[in-house]
Amino acid sequence: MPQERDLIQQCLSGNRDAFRRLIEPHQDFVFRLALSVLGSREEAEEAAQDALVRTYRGLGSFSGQVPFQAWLYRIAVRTALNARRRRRRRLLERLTPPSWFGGLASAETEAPDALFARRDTRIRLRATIARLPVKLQEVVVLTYLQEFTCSEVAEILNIPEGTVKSRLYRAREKLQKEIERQGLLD
Amino acid sequence: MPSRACRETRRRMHSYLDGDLSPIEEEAMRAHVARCADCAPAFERLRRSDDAVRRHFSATVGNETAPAGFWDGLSARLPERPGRLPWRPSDLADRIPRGVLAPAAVAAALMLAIWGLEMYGPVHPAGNGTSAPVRKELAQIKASILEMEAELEQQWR
Repeated sequence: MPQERDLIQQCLSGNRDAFRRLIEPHQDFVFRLALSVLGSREEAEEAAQDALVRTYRGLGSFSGQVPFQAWLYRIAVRTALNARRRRRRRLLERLTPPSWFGGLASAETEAPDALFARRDTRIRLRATIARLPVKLQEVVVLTYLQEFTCSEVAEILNIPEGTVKSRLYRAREKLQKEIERQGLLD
Repeated sequence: MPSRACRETRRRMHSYLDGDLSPIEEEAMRAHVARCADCAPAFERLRRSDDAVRRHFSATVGNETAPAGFWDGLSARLPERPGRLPWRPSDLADRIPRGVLAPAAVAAALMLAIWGLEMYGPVHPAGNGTSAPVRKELAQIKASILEMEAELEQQWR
């Protein structure tokens, strides 16, 4: 897109207004993506900003071989998943019982998401998705959040379309098993 | 053991959810599901759990938009000028057209496996005495080749 290329060129010379115009069509999606992964508006706002700061910082390495949108969304999905991983680590550190206290040993292995999971279906479903391997989560988030096609997801993640399909297949199988086990269909 | 038609239908169920089935394929899948006592509940369960995930995403984010003041907060965090992201091996994938990387990786893995077999395989004087770490490494190479072949199969299907 010629206009997009011009805006990127202007950004590279430090024009922030050009960056604003460049990301304007995408910022709501980047925010929604982070919200779907993190569940809290405050954290989602921070993660969405992190992703866009990272995008700005890295504009010099944007090769133009893939569409800007795909490059931006790849950064966004990975930043959101990393933010959740960091949050989980922080919570785990807080939850890990002192070594002399054996009674809560299961808290060491159970993800904090799962500890809160009893509250409602939405939290439990988010926790279920969060327990998938990261590569499967990437395709699940992009496919279900925005209804991207497999070929669009492939372009965003820069992996073959067949890999997207096989990851989705594995993700659906795992999710179905867990959703049924936890009775989340009711 | 599921019949060949059942296995094909199960595969098509996922393609259906991917939006990848032609009308003829979808009709064939539905016809099989309608008369198969195993595939009918399997399809229903898959569809229901897929719906649950879809509903979850739409309920969580709906039509949410970035909060007011989003740009101001972001703008305050931007550095003076853009730079370059630290290089990572995965960046290489951006430079190589999709569809080339996987076959290249399979070819490289095969060459590595052949080299490994020649160096440490049963024809080597070490014969049956090949050490456990080497056997383990060869088994891992074999496993990754099988995995890549499976991915390629999916890709070419």
